[in-house]
Amino acid sequence: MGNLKKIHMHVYYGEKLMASRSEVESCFSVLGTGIAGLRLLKVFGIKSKELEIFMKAMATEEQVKICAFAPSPLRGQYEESISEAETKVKQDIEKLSVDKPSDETIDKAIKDTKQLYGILAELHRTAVTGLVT
Amino acid sequence: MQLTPLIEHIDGLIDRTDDQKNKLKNIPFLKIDKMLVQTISNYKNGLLIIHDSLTDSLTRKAVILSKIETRAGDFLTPDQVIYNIYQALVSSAYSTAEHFNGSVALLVESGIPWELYYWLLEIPQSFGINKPIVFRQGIRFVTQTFYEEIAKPLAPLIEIAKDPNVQGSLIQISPVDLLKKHPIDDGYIITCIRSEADNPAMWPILCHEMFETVDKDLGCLGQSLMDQFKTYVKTQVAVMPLINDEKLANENWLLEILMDFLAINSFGPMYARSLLEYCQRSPYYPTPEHPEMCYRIYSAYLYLTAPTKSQSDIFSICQQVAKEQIQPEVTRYEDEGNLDSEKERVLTQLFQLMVKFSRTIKTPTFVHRLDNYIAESQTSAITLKDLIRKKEALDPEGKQKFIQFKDPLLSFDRIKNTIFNFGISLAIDPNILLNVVIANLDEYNKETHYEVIVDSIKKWKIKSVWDSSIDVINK
Repeated sequence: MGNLKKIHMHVYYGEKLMASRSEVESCFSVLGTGIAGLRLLKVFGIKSKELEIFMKAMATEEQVKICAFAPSPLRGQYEESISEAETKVKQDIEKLSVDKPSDETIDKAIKDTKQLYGILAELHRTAVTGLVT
Repeated sequence: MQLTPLIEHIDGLIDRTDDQKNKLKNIPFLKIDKMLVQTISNYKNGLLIIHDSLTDSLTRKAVILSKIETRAGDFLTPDQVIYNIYQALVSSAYSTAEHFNGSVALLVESGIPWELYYWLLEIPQSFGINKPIVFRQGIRFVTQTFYEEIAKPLAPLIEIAKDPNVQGSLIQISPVDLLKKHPIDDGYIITCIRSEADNPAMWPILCHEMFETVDKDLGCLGQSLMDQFKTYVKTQVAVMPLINDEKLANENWLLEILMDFLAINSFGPMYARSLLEYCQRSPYYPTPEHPEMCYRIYSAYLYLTAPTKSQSDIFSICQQVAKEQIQPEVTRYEDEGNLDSEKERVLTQLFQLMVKFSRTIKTPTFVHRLDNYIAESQTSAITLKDLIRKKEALDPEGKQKFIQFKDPLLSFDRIKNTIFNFGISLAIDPNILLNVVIANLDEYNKETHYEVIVDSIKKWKIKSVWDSSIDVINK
């Protein structure tokens, strides 16, 4: 998962800001492109450049990594859920590589990609505001 | 069009980068000013890439898609295409644009003393690296290339613009390489912890980041410091000592330890204290990218126990002070079983290899710095009047030459007293000065001493420039 390679949940005591924000931005960008590609497939039946970019980016084997300096609440809260959501998306992508994927397959891929996007957005928000629950 | 307000907003952000550039007029150092201008231009180009993606490829695509029948047999308006298809991508583009805007502000109003640039840039310059390297506030120490920071989050937008056409439509959009149109120049951004930017005790950690920058930069030529170390190790031992059984993690951990070693070797013994403080105050966890803290602390500890040869008392005192601070931590790791004799053996072997390897590195070591300091200083018994009357201060015709100004050679205690008790800035190598400062951190008071330390770096820079000019004039 090239662009999800280093999701560093770097939060430092007082500041509560995302350090490697550019890395998280990269993830959002890839997932946003993926959602567009999947919807183009669903709505128009087009296997687009957007889908190709998404599938290529997700095809690498690297896992989401948590920074050594992440505080435990945030780390504990998101590490597992990100990992699970990422696995689901990867599995969906494998199923999409056939000529004509079914509507169910596309719908599931959209749902899982949106879920991963949502977790990242929540993590991002949590890290920025410091509202670790 | 739905995207119009966002595009107008991004236009505003682009204008704001010019406002930030204008603020740089207050920086008294031309070189730093130039590096920051180049960095801001990169961010501006990042914003222009977002702008062009939204105005050209996405908007035009939305218009084309609005003319294509959906699988359900109806048509979407361009706004519906943007909303239903591209909403998440547009959101991420907006978020990235805001991130760029914030980053520019953190560069210009960073709270990082400009003098720090001069001191730290010595490391990459000793490797012949003259690309822009700028500091920004953040939440941990991290080094990124401009590409990683600016171009990478935009990669999908750039790719889409390169191949913008819609399958099944005869309407063509001209492909454009946005990275060629709005290039992102080479360079590096080093992030400092926001609350530590003006804390000299954490500045040594930036030496680690500087060596990471060098490693990355030389890596572009296939000669990263890590590669050079691995090649060197092959000439010394049959197998590289392993600190982690997993290959990639071993490589990453080794890199961190190598960077720590180069940093302590260059900065001096008190790097160990800064490292310990940084690791202890941050919630630190071993990951595939960062080794267990005990590995890094023990490796630094080995430097403190190595014999040293310096005529100055500064090395031995700093070494002793740092050792006293690190020793209890090492004992704790041993007592808790984090460090066993096998791990210590491997780390010691690596340390010995790194010591030998460091002789191939051009950056001056702390010992070299002390030697230079001694060579370039004068015994305190000689006055300025004596100095200009010396034989070497006169040309063959007996006329006065320009001469290098020589400060008296100061001991550890004299430097400490001059800075902390008398509040006088000293034009000596900042590495030496900072070691003495960090060894006496209990006496450091930001209100009283921060400016003295920063002024010392400024004085040292002026002295260095003067000395180099004298060399040129006398030649």
